[in-house]
Amino acid sequence: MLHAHRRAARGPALRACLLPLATLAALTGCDPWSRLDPQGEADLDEALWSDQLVAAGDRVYVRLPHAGALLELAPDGAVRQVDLDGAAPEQVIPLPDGEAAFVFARWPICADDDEDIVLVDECPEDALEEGSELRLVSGHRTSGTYALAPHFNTLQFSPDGQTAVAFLDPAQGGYPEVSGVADLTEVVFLPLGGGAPLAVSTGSSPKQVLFTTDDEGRNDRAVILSTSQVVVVDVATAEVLVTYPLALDVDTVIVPEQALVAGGGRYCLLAVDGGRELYRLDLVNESIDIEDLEGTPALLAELQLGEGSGEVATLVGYDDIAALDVLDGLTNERVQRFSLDHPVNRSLQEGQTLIAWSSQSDIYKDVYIINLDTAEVDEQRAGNPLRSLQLSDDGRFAVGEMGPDNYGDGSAQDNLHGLFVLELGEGQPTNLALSSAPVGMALSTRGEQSFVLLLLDGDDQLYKVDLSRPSFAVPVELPAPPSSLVRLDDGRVAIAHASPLGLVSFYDPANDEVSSIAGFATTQMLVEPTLPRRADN
Amino acid sequence: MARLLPTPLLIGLLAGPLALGGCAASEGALAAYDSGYASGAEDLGEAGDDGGAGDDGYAPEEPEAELGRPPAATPRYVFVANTDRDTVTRIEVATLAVITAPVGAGPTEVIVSPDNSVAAVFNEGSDDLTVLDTEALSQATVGLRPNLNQIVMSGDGEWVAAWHDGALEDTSVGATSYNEVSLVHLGRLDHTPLIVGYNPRQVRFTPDHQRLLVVSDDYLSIVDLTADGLEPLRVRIAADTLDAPVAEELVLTPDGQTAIIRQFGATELVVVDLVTGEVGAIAVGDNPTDIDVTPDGTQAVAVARGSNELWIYALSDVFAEPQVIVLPDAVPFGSVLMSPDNSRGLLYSTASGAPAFAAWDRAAPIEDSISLYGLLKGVAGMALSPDGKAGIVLHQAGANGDLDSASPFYNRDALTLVDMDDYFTNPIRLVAPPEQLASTRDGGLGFLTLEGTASLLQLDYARLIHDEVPLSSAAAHLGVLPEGRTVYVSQEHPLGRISFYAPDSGDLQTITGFELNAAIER
Repeated sequence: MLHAHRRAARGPALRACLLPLATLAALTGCDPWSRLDPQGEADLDEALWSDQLVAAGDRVYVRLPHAGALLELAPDGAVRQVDLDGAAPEQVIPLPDGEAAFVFARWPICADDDEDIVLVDECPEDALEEGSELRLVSGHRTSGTYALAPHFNTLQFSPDGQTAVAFLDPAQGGYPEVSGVADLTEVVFLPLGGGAPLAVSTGSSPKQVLFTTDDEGRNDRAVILSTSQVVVVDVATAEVLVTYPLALDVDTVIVPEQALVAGGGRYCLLAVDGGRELYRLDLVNESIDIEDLEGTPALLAELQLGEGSGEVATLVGYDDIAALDVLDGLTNERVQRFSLDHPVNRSLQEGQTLIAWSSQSDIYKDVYIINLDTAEVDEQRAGNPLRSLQLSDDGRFAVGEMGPDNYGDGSAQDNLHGLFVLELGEGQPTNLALSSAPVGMALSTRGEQSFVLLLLDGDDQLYKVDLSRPSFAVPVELPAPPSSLVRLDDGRVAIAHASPLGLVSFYDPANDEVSSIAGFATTQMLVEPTLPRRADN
Repeated sequence: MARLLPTPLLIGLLAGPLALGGCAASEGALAAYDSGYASGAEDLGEAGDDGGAGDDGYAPEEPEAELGRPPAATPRYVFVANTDRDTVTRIEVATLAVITAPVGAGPTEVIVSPDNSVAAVFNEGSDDLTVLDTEALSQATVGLRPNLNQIVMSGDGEWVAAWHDGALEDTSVGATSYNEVSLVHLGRLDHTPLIVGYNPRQVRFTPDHQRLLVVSDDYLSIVDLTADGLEPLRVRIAADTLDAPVAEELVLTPDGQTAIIRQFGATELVVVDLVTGEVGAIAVGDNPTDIDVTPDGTQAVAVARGSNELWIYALSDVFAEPQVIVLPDAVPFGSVLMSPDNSRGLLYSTASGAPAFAAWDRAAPIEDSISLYGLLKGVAGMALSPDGKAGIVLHQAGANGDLDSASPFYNRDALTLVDMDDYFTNPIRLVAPPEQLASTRDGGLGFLTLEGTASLLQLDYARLIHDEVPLSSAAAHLGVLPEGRTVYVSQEHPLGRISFYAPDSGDLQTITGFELNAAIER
């Protein structure tokens, strides 16, 4: 695959009344402005840093858009610049194991090979192009580089951790950046253990990639869901094995919505946008069967039956039927129906406990706790409609964010955001009211304790809620107003603050310790951007 | 008329060891017939108009409707033609694995050879025949004459004949001849076009597979399949060239050497020696409207509706004196249906609208052999369960007879189940006109589809009880698998849908979207 080059656009300058600053070689927690000579002003093309932290393992990555750099910050205060060989990071996606991260990166290229052209600004505008690549970074070092066209915007990972898959997902929004001639339906397989990337054209817009697993636990085939078709590809060779059409007429557009690989990899089940059918693609016999459902599927999930039995079934929830159906994993026949009071579209499973709720309704507040062994359905009620629900690491608690209730029942909480906490198997939930909308929330388990950590809009404090005693929230003072929060693997959280020169704090809920790193955003702040690579690099 | 049993002609073909032996017409009978031809049409009795009323004032009886065409099935597979999608689907019975193969345009019929090795697919839209290997699904295409709409396969699976059946909707385009038959040899994959008499009514192969017979309005065409050239011998069977009675039906003697042809509005049956081509005639009362061969293949039974008589001929000597039974004149009878054990017959009329049928007990003295029974509505068709223990009477919505307008059956489609032991009846009101009927081989259950209805009606012949099996969409084609009691019913769905219903367990398995399988790329 060729490097993708495109003409770089010189964006509008961000004029900021800033004092000229020297490059900071060492970053400490003190205010860097105090060490600089306040004279003149400078124009910044982009923000100094992005507060959208990306957690990878026990550290975070921070992008510096203006400098075109990527920093790795650790709770011990270490700040290291990730070596991207002069490329600027566009997007950082951590691997599921947290050991590494992928970085979509670009760099300016001057097609004019005059050696006197050193700075980006010195390159004639009509000769300025842009290269793009995908880098695999571990810590602050690059462990792999993949040439990738600029239009790719999505990465998915195989469950066995051996393969990443890149494709363009139109649902991400925006217009794809096309360099020259591009196949926007291409899917690229990136072997994480080494090896060249392999590309395959799927013929239509890919939406999701699922994987089958062989007897040795390796993900041997990728099932690529695209508009109006499903393509099965050999992961090792990117060879297209089978293409399943979802419609006979090319004018008919079938968009897969929910999908999963069921029956031990035998079938791919998928529900389509606006349809009441469940497509069952037999991946062994290479055939298609469509089953009419009673309602429009809103939830399709794999259900583990019997503790440790390995037996799986398929869970189906509907937009328009107040029920959950359990389908046999092999025959697809309904083996059980749980009748509910209202439809659900989300589920979580912890052991043989199934939790189901609706996240798309301003009305429904019920949370159903289903014992899969006894088929008992326990109906609990959130104070307001739930927007999200997740399980604590120890599986003891279900915690969710509630929004204001537009059709309130007159309770004091109607117009407030809230937090829903339910200890599974222990009776009634706790509904907490929040003073404003959460701008960051993370569950953390440290030792024997589980917490939910909250940032609220306009509030300078972090709130720590002990899930075993949810009614007692502890405010934690922060060095500056927070703007975002991410969770680290060890249960600590990293918090970005609204600080123009960069400020990130690390908080340990086990001991309430807060450590901060500041001023890192001034890295290369006033350095004229140079052409990092020649046109032939 | 509706028949569960194979057609009388087919009974002739299947009737075990045939009653061989001389059955050539006596010279005297032929000579008399020849003189009748020479002297003019008046000796032959009045002829009815083509398709019009005979002397009795009623229209011809409904032809033996194929309410239950034999399924295109082998013990291992079922084949379904998907007319709108130009494909044929093969379903493996044991696993319900589905494979769809593209064929020509607008396939309407699939016939499987007796040895289960070949499936012939008639593509009405592209005027050709797809010859499929039932296992490998490899195929070859043989072109046919244009504008044909019906096919039949010889009993040895060597030949397929296609023709234009005037009883079906005429969708012919361009210059069209209604005198054509296409003959295809499935082994050599060659096609021979044939010109036969105008408007073929019935096309069939002789039991010995040596001849193709085509009954047209006024000709019987005989093609010797063993000869080179395959030229049809066209035998005129209507002496009156200006106003000939229309031939409607043909039966064969067990040895396949003689054909007996029924003409509407005539007073004689035409007898043709298939070897020599000589034509004779035998009396049959007034306006014979139906003729069947008895299940044992020894006799032919004709109903003379105009004279209300039953004429019974020995097929071993068709010119021998027939037995004539006078039927009650309270109700006109135009059709006959024989029980599988040949002990009884059912007599009825689809043309008169009479809400009645008669039972003919062949073991009883002639004077006591006919018993009359009333029905709720007029008869649109009749069938028997494979063991003959139950009768199925189909009624048209508008054939109300003397039914009170307040009756729940007034202007409604209906069927009546009849216990053939005592002729007790159970009328069942239907929500739509019946389309296809199929029965399990053990005679225990029947299955009926209704026009545009997403359900399957199960008929318990022993208990006269019906049950409804809901389907996902309107039924299209119905059949019973060759072994067991499983029913398959294809349904309307843009991507293909077929269900398999096991009545013993009540399990209904449905496969939807099998048309997509033809488009899977590997």
